[in-house]
Amino acid sequence: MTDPIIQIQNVHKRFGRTSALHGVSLDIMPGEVVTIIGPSGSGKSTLLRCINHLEVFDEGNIIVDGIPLTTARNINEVRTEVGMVFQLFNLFPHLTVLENIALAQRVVRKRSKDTAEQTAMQQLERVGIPEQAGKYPAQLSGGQQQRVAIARALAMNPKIMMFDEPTSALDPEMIKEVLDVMLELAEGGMTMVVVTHEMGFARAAADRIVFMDFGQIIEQAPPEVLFTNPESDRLQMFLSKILQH
Amino acid sequence: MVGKVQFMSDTVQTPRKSSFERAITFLSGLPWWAIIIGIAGVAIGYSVLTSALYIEAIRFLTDDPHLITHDKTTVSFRLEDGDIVTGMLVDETDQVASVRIDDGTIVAVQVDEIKQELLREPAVCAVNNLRACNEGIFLTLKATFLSFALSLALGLVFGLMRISKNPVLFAVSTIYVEVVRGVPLLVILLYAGFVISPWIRDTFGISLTDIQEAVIGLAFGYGAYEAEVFRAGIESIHKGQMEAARSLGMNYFQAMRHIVLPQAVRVILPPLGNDFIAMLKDSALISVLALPDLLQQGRLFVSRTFRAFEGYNSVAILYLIMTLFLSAMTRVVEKRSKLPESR
Repeated sequence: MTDPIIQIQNVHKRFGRTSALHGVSLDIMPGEVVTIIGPSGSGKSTLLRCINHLEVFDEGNIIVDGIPLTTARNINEVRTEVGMVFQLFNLFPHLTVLENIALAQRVVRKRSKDTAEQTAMQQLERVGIPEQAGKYPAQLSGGQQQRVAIARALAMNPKIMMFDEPTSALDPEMIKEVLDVMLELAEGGMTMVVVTHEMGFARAAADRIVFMDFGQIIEQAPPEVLFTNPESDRLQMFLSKILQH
Repeated sequence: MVGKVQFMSDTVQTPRKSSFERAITFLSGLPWWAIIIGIAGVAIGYSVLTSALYIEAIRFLTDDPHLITHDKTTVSFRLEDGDIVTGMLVDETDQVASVRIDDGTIVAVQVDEIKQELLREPAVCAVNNLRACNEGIFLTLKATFLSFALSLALGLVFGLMRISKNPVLFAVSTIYVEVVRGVPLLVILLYAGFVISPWIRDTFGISLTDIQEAVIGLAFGYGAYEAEVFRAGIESIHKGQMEAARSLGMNYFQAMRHIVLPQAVRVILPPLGNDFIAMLKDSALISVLALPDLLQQGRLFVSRTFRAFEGYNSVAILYLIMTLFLSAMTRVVEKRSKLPESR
């Protein structure tokens, strides 16, 4: 039996006096697509950000690809294996699209300029916008920017891709183009952890859906089971609100 | 009852640009190499013009038997023992003349009396004053550029320390900023010249030239302000930029160098340009360390000729020309550094 590629063990995280994560444990297998859903403030984003150490947790441990984060000598090396896509895209506005994707490859993976740009163009084609390579982020639409952000993360050839509400800041007509890219990634076998409100995507792509509330995992199950047979009251209430439209 | 309907004219009047704005637009459209060549050309032309017209405008009036010859730049004296000393007159009092001879040594010659008359021929005086202005402007600009460069370096270092999580770095930089911002720049310059410099000479044996003292004083004085400007600029960059960079595996310094600082610098160009112009004016303070900058040249002129109106007016106008020019340049740099507008 293969080892989980991410092991979250009894993680606690406090911001001042408020507890954001309250004893969260979760194992994610390689190639698995896990979607995390829940109301605001439930700790979904915090959990994601703990996995790549953007937030430092107070108790417990997270083991990514065999490396425990608490004792890792070089967190930056761990981060190269975990790609992150943000809600607000966070593209680098002073660089062109191509430079955005090539920069980390050159600086972190030490690839040559040509290799980095070649890989960048490949990823741009993969997300469907190779013609935008010379433009600046401000000249692209939101959907295009988020696809560049995905390409930027993929260019580092990570083992895991994490998405923090990737479509929440997009106009409705652009959500589909981003979700299509994510679906393709999932079908390709990438390990993905996605925090989202897009239930359609969860149903189509997720191997497992995790419901969080108040900093704890309340329920987790494959989508067919979770949507048709929610066990806990809180999940039932949440689903009734979300699946309304 | 039908009222009269008035139609607006088909053509809309576009507001006319002032000639200053047109000049700025023209300048900002030039390629970068044209701007550099333009500035270099103006600087070289001005230096060539003023130095070519160098004339020693002092005429000796003397019956002193020791004085043999003099022309525009050299004098010859016969000493008591019959030797002849020929060189450039660098100083004189009523009884002693100091002459710099060829190998650089300065010989003091006893003379009966030397009187100098300041030539009052306008053309010669004008050229002489132009030469003084030239030297003064050159020193002012040199001191300002060197100090500003050094203060930027200090500002970047201390600015980064100010946002550091390390308590020691934070404390040291905060003390530096608060102390230096709390003491007048004039006091800091005097401190640099008369307290720090002798201490360095005594402790390390390094003798600082007066321009080095002035540059250090000015740079330290302004470095505190630049530190706060850098800190504000860095903090104005959205946290997500740093997070995105770190998520890609960059360490703190790589993220700073490639992502945060390039954006922060664009943000702080206006206040930096402002500080540069302010430093140009504050460079007048270095005259208290007896440096012959533009203000000092003006003071010398006034003390020689007692024409305060002409002297200080000219100095003020020259500073104004420099600051206006730098103001325009700052605007050009800002315009060219702007990123493309968002949709």
